[in-house]
Amino acid sequence: CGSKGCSPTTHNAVKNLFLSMSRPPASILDRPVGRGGARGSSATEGYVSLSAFAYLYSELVQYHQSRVASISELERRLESAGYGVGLKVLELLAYRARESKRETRLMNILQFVSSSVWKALFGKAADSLERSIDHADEFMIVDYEPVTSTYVSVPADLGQLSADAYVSGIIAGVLEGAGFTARVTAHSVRVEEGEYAKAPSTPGLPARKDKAVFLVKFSREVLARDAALER
Amino acid sequence: RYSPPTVPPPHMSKTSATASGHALWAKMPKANAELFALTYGSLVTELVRDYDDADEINRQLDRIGHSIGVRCVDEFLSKAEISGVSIPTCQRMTDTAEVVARIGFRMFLGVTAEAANFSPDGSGFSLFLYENPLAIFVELPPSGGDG
Repeated sequence: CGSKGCSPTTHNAVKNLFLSMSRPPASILDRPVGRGGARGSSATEGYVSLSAFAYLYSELVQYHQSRVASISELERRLESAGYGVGLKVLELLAYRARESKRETRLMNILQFVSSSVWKALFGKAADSLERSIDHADEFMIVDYEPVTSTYVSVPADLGQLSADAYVSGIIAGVLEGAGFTARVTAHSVRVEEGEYAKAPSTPGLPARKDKAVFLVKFSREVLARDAALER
Repeated sequence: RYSPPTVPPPHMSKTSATASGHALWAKMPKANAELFALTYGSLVTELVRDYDDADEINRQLDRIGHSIGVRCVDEFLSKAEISGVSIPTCQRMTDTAEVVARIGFRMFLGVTAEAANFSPDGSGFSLFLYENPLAIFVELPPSGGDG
């Protein structure tokens, strides 16, 4: 029953009716996984407030921060926190898309990450996907307003820390699960004059000075495999 | 000297609280609920890795939740005022319970909650959550104790 005007007595009555009609699901694996909320029965099903996510993420970062001795260790911990999420997100999206073929080419999996994964998690595609000029094995996914750092200000003594390390963990998890081992790191890069003209999507906040650049460095085996498929 | 009789402010009505809850929820920027659930899962996994005892894990989660709750209340009070959603003053615990259930939970998590089971002296109550966005992918093992 919907969340509008459902009293507990009605709710219990309906629930009991269903239970008596059919066996309850044996385990969580038998329950339907849903449609992901994008096309849910109400416009905002499948969402929580951005504040709830921001507070939860803040607690996650603080929890790890209290247990590490250096900035890079904190970033590693955030990345590994995101890794498991990435593996699960890949499974979820692949199942929902009902694709019978998985991506085997590098550019395709990167497109999948920068559009499908981003849209599913953050509501919009990544702002750009670029390849490095100097290194054939490096690619960059750019997001001008990542949610993991929307409400974060990094104090001076934490220097180069990127709070988006969690997202690079998610990317790494997705790529690993798809068979494309890669090292993914998050970097805060200053936005240049006139580079990004949109108003911030969260009202009341000043425009961000930094964008998040996720550097994806594929392993040699992956590149060799992709080159072999090219022929 | 004549002093006019004081009229106590109106009780928090359930329908107006529900309406306020919906109004505030509509104005909140949103985040994906699955990302939220998976992030929470990552946090719990880390706690389970660091602590063996279920009670200690619960204590940590409680501490984290308390910290989040304090921030939520501040945001609620400031947003309600800014967006002109009326929240009558809470006179007693029952009012606070209704506000938390009908407005608070709706505003932050988009879910229906209900305050009921009030203790006779009005100092305690139960919150019933019909949907829990934190647990959409979770099933506790049968012998794991409660967590």
